[in-house]
Amino acid sequence: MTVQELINKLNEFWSKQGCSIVQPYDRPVGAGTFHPATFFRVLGPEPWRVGYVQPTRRPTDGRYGENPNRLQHYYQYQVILKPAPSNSQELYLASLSHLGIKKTDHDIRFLHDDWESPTLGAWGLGWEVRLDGMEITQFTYFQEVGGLALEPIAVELTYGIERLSLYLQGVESVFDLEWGGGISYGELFHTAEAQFSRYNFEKSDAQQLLHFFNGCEQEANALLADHGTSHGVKHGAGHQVDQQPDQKTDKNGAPALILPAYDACLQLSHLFNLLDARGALSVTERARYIGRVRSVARRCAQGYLALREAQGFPLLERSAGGTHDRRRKARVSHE
Amino acid sequence: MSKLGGKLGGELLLEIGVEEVPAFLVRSTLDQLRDRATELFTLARLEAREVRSYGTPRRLVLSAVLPNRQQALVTDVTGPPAAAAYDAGGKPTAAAVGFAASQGVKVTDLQIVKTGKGDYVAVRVTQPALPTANVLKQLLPTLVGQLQFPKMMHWHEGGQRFIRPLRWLVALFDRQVIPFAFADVTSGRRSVGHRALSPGAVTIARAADYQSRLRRACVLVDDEERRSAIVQGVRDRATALGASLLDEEAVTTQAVYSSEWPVVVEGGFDRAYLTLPKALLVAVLEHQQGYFGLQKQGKLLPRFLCVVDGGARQQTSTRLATMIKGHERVLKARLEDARFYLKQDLAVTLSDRVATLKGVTFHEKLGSLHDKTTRVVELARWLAPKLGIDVKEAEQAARLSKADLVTGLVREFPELQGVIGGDYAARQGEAPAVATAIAEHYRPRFTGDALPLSSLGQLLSLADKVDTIVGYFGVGLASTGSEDPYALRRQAAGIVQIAALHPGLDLSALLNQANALLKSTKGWRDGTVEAVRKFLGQRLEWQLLSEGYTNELVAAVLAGEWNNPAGAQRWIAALQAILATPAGEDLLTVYRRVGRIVPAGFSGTLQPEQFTEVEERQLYAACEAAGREMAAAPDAEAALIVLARLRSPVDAFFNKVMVMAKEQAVQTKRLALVNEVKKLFQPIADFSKISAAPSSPAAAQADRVREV
Repeated sequence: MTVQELINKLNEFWSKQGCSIVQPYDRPVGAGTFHPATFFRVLGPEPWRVGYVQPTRRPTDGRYGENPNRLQHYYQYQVILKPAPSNSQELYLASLSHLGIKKTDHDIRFLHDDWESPTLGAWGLGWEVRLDGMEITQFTYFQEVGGLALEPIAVELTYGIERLSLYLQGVESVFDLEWGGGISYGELFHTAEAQFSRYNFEKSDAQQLLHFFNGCEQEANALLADHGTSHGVKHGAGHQVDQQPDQKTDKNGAPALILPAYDACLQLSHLFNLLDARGALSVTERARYIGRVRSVARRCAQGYLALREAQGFPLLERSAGGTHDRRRKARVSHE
Repeated sequence: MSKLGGKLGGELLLEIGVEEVPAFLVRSTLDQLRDRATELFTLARLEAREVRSYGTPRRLVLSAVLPNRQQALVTDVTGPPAAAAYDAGGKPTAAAVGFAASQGVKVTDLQIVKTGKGDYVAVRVTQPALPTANVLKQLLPTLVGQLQFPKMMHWHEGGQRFIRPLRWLVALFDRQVIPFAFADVTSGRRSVGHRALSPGAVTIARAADYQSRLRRACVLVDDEERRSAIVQGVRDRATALGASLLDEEAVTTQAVYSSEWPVVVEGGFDRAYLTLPKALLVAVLEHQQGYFGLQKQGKLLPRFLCVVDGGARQQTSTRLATMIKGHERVLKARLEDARFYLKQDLAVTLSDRVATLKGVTFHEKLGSLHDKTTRVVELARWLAPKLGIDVKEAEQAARLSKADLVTGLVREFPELQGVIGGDYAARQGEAPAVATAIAEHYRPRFTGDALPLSSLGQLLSLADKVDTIVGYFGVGLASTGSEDPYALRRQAAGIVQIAALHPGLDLSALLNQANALLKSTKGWRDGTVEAVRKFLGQRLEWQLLSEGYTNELVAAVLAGEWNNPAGAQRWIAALQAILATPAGEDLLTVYRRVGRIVPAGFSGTLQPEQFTEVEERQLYAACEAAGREMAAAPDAEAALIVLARLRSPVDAFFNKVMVMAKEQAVQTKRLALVNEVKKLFQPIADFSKISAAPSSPAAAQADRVREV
């Protein structure tokens, strides 16, 4: 099965499960979770089912194209099911079966791996799924995103496309994978791996990156602060949907620019990763920079939730009376 | 399983079906389940027997034998005193009427009971013995709700949380379902089989059938049974290979609690990877992958054992072969990754990495790791001659000791710090002693861990730990009470144990040295050396007490001028030995006579030429000789015997000479002489803390009278 066939199969499977198959987000991100189709849509009471491929950049994981398993740019297949159905694990195993991986033939384990994204102010509980010892999926029940407690709970499935393909194609180097159309993964990406590894580790200009970082943060703050989105909401502090301030507007009544602010947030996150790969941040500085990104992410999450609330959570209307009727007050607080 | 039924009682089975519980939490959760259940049974007046808990990552199981009914409870609720409840004519008063009303009974139902305070009116309340099934209906949901986890999650609409989503509940009292609900699940008799081998429902007819029904559905639900199967499996395989297992216990536990139907399989990897550092191979095999490593004569084999779950009901060899191949490939990828790091890391020497440590914070108040390295080098230089170690080697080991913290491998495997540094140092041509010292300087890493074996390793370990402890104490980050966020107690225990191997080492001097290197730090606290010495003393105290010495002796020796744990250990052993002999009495008598009479802060100088009395001169001579003999004594006990022999000149002196003479000059010269004797005791212990005279308290009494 080529990489593209694998993607098609996953699209096919999750499409049949009622997922919208959307396209990747057009910003460098460190995980599929950063896609607005996840980060924003898991907030609030509206149901959501989506599947998509997300190219993912992890500058510190670059290996100059010399390591058969590590890449600074790779693909995730991301699925969000909200609310998380009670047969989430079975659905996931059925998706593997759809790829030809029968659970009866393999040692499939759900091994404890709690997920946390300090930059997104997000955490969840779940597992890494191992197929005959290989980690192929991160399986997480989100509990909090952007510092906001979730209700209902969404489940996130993140498949490592290359890992699965290595298994299915029975090859040992990611560069030997057949992508499709007679082209190998190496042909597509080897040069990029070598070049970006050099850039990330050796050639990026840390001073410039810091400069960009500050600029991006200013822009995000400007976009958010103009509209009164509050700073400094405590992490995990019983967020109350009912007490959200009304939709943010500026003095002319225009809605807050949450989505552009979030783009700046993604940029910040990527710049941070580049600085980190360059070894430009000490341990204490690292924590501070992460805190700066998180602050923006939280305010984006609050702003987006307020925006949806002001719109009357339109997807609730659509599903009213249906199986996904979640039209009820959000839980008052999480302990 | 109990066959009890009918009148005698029945078996309770509770199975909590849950999505995979983290392996490290399964057993502790099961213990919790058993303990909470036992408490709740008692509260509910259910006399439970054979309360057991067992399980897998997907099911937490409780079983117990319970009677068919709870015990009835008869209690007397007392009201007003009888005297106040009835008037002279024996008629109930308003107090009695009111009390009866409050209890919902007629006044005529009131009885009089005798209590310790006299006769009182009372109502006998009988709580009926409800059928066990009814009691369990309330008890079981409470039990499930009482389970606590370090992290809990929401997954459904209600408020209840659990470690992972709870998916099914089986609750049976013999054949009867105990109906209750928790979160979004209702109890019944429907369990599920192994996820891969026997998916689907398993109906449990009665509690006693549970384990055998699940066995048929490919679930070995008893964790002890899985453990035996795994242990048996890996030992057989290892024996067949003529090899021994590395860390059997930890890997077994992980396998027991992450599988329901464990099967042991064997795989291999390319011999070429055996050139990787052994600790790294072990970390990949055991920590990352959860495989059993194998070794023969201390050398790793290119083989591993792995526990697969769902390894096929009949072990179909093709299926197992697929699984083994999968595991081998993953291992290869991991090892390849490790080899990549190794290659990258070795492109830069440790020596060249030292400067990089400037960018890594040790602690924000204590500067960078480079600053720390500089201090450790200084301490190593100071320590080297005292431990008989080449100064150049000590300096070099100290200089390179932290350089591996900025290598790729240690970033990936933080638990390999030191070990990787030692490996790289050896590969880069550093002296073998230097490489070994770097590798072992973090030891002991936990209670019971081995100490560094080489003396250079011991030196480096001491220098590193002393710098850390003195540093943290100096900037106000000392451990307090149960708070020990920087694991300073472990470091202190390491210092005490290692210093004990070098009796000639003066720990106080080492602390002073470390303090001198740090004291220009912003906000440095006075008294740091004393505080650290006390902290180390607490570790030593704990050690001595655990070796069986009495509180009194330990306190006495630690209040002495010990500057090395070996010295304290030597003295306490000798004291314990000598106190059991007649010489012990002499020793304590000498101290008692000279100890109390010298006032605190006495500063008179010794004037031997002024000694006119023969007892004065004799005591002076004996004291001088004792000092010399103690220094030359072959061991501590011999030194104490020298002291004990002072009894006769001391007795003669006190019996003949009035120390507290009226004339000030005479008093001072005699006190100075007594003080000279007392000084001989000071380095050993604070003898005033040793109260138990082996015999003859009368002698002590006599002295006191005389002194006054």
